[in-house]
Amino acid sequence: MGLEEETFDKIINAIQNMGETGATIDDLSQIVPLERHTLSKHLNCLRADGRLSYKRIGRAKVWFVSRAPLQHIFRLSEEEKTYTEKIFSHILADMPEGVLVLDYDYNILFMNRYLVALYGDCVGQKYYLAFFDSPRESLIQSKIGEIIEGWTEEVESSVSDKEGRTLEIKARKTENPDGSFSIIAIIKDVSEKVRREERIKHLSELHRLIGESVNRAYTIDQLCSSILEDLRRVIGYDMGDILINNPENNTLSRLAQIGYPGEGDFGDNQHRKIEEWKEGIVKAAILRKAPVFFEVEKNKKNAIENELSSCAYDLAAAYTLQEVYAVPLKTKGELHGALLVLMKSGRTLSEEDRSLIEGVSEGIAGGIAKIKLEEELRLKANAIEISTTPVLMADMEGKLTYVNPAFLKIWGYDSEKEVLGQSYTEFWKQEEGDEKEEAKDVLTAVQEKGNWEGELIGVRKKGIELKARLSASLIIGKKGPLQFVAVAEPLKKEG
Amino acid sequence: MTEDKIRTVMIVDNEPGVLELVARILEANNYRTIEAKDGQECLEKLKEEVPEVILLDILMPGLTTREILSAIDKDSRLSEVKIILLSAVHLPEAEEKGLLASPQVVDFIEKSFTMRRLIDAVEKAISERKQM
Repeated sequence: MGLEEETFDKIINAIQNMGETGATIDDLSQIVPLERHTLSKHLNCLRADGRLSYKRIGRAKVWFVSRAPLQHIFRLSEEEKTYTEKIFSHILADMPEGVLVLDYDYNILFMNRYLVALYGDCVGQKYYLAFFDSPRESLIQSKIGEIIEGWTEEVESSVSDKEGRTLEIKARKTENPDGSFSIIAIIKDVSEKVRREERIKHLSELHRLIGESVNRAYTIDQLCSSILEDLRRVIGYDMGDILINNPENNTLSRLAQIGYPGEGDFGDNQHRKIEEWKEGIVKAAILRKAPVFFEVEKNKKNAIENELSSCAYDLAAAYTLQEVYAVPLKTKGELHGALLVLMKSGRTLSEEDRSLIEGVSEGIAGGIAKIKLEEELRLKANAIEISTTPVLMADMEGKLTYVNPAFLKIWGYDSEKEVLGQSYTEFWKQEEGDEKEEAKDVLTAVQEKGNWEGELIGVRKKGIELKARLSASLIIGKKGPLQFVAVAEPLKKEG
Repeated sequence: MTEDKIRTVMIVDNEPGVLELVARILEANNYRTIEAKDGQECLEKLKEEVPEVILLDILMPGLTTREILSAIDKDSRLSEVKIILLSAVHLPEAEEKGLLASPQVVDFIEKSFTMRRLIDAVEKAISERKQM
């Protein structure tokens, strides 16, 4: 240890021996054998080094041993700070993250502006009370508690504070100039980030569930019921409906609902009114092409102002509701209906919940549109299925991909398995000659000219022939030719 | 076709498989064809030649369908051209976008379609021109 360090130790020991009252330069000059101006120089060196700090009492400076890092910087007025201290104190004060210094008894010694903005000035208070409003024991197991208990010197953790904020804390043990220890913690409020991550997690979970429902569903009713259940699993709402818009007659059909009390709770008349109120709310959302959110308490005064609030208020009164929320279900071009979500008295949908519902509404609408289209196609397919005229489809190589029951019946086959995958030329021949050239020409002609119409001889099971008029056309898909389709009209009776 | 005059149909589609096939089939059915792979090429070729009918795909990169229709609408040389929209989107979506509002748009064909449907639509569009 150098001579200067020995002198520094003597000064620090002298101040510590003075106890809580601190020491003036006069007190010290009696203990440390140094000239007053030399002592003053050493004191200022130690202060600049952060090991000593002083309080100004009248014109005198009372010196103390710094008990915590950084602490002395914030005790000084701007004029008293060195250049480095000024820069450093500004950086600490304005950091976009919280800086907290605790002593080993959880007392808050310093908190920067970031933390003051969140908790107010809590210097001197206990950390566990100021941040968590909980007893000390509950923090013993927490990460900072682990440092204080001596289990570790450095921790990183994520905790919830008394306001429900999520804090990311990085803390480490620091030795003070007086030999005691402090804890310096960098704290960041990551609630928004956590909420965003939660929302993304829930959103992707909902999209996954909705995707599965769309894949599983065969009818729109099934799909809507399944979606209501999926949504309820992620967002615990009380009651919900999906109503589908019928633009051709401007009506709404209720396809699914969940969570309502039994039908017996209301008479027929009341039940009818309830449905009318729901439709009134849903129509408003469809008309506005935007969500409608009705909070009963806030809207009481406006209840009779318009039809929407009147419907919502009446519905709320019938089911003792707190909130009514309707979201239109629209894809880019089409409004398919709306989702109605109801919350009972004392329960609310958070902003995240509403944003989540809006986030998946287009996915729900897309699913509904897909199943609706599939239903329409199935309905149209029925016409081909019951048609008495044979219909067949083949791929671009001429292999049969579809035949209707009339084809099977007239050609004498029991099952489509017997014909699918066979070349369609197997079922036709030239009227005179062999090689089925005529039938081959049909495919070539369809590929060249798009259509073909003419008469062919059909070859039925067991070789029985049948004259038929064939009308064939090429089907073009998004990227090019897909299949060809033909209608075969028998020209004379079987046999 | 009932008339001897060769009719010209412009096909605008960014899918070469559709563009070339439809052009080839229409030519086999005695139509002249002009091919354009996007809206820009469509408008450029329209400066040189005015077809009777345009088959216009509504989902292409580059100019939007609305921009193409607007440019056609502003060009008085093209006022008698009939337009048939081809699309992989459904009719309500096209209606919502206002694509069917132009009086020159006479039909909307959703992909997948049969060539019978397409040729019938082209013939109908041409017969509508005759009545004008």
